Amino acid sequence: MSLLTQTEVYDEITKAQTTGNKLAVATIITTSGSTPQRTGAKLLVYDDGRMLGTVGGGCVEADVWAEARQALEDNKARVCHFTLRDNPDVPPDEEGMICGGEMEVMIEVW
Amino acid sequence: MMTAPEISVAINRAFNKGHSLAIVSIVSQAGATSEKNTRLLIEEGVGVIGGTLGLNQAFDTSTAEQALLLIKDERQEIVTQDFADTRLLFEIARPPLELIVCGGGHVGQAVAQAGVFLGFRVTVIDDRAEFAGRERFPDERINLISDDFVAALHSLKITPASHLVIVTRGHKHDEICLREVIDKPARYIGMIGSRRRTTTIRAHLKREGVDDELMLRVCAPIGLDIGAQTPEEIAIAILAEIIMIRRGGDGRAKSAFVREK
Repeated sequence: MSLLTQTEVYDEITKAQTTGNKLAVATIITTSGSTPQRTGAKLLVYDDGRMLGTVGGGCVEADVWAEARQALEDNKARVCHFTLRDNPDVPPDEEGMICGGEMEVMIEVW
Repeated sequence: MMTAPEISVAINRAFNKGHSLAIVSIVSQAGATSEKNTRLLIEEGVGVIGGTLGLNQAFDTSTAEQALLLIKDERQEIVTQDFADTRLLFEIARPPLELIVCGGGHVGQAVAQAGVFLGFRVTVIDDRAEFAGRERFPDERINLISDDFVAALHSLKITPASHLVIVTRGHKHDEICLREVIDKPARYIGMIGSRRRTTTIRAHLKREGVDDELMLRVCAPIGLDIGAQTPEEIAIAILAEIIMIRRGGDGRAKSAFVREK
C-alpha cells in the first residue's frame, strides 16, 4: 500500500468531521534500528475502528491501532514508543528481514 | 487555529503553484504531549501562509525560517527538532513531480515510460499527431498534447515541480522549445544533442539576449554519462540525472570495483 499523502490525510479528516466523526491520525515521527516503515508514514483510525494507510503492518500496526482507539476514546493526543520484537508466533524470516527497531508515534485526535 | 479543510485548501493552492510546503506541529511542550492540533504552514517562496504555534510571533517567525531551510533540502520529508522545551514536528509536503517531454520520438517514448515508472505526472508534446498519439503511448497515465510546440508549452503551467526534457526530432525544434521555456521556473531543463550542436543553440539564445544565468542551468548535452546508446538507455541516463539533481548524489558508481576500473 502506498503511503498517504498530506492532502489525503487532511481530506479524510475533513470528511470525518463533516459527518460528525472523530479521527485519530498516527504518524511515525522517529525511528531507530530496523523498522517496517519510514518516518512520516501515517495510519488513520476511524471511530468505528476502520483504518486507512499503514505504519508498517503486522504486530506493530495492531499496537498503534489499539493506542489510536484509546486516544479516540479519551479524546486526547499521545506520543507512544514501540519496540519491535520478533513475533514468537511467526517463524524467523529466512531472508533475514527482522525488525528489531524502535519507533515513536504521535497520535492526534481530530 | 487552522481547521482540516483550511489546511487541505492551503496544500492544494501551494501544489498548484508547484510549491512545497512545511506543516509544523507541536509534539510536546515541557515533556507533555500537546493537546491541541496546532499547525503552522509555511510555503516555499512565500513564508507563513496560515496557522500559528500559539506561543509568540517571534517563535513562529524563527520556525518558519527553519522550515524554509528544510524545504530547500529535497531529501527532507519529516524532522523533529527541539527548541528549548518545545518539540516540533516538521512535515514537508511536496507537489507531485511533473515531467514534460518535448518530442514523441523513440527517446521521448522511453523517457515518458521511465517517468511514469518513477511516479512523475508525464506530458508528451509533439506537433505531429501520430507522435503524440495513444498508439505510441498506450499508458493512459501519460498526458498527450499534439500541437505546435510553442502553443503547447504555453498552455502548460510550468512550475518549480516541472522537469522539462527536450528531445524533439531535430535541433530546430529543440531550440524553439528551449527558447519558450528558458525563463520559466522549471526544476530541470535538459536538451538532447551533441556538445557542438547544443553549444550552437546556446549561442543563438545568448545573441537574442537570454541571460547567462538562465543558460547555465540548462542540462545540455542531456543525461549522466553511462555510455547510453539505445533510446531506453538514454532515457535512464536522463532520468538518473534528474534524480541526482533532486536527491543530491554525485553520479559515481558506489563500488570501488567499478570506480577504479
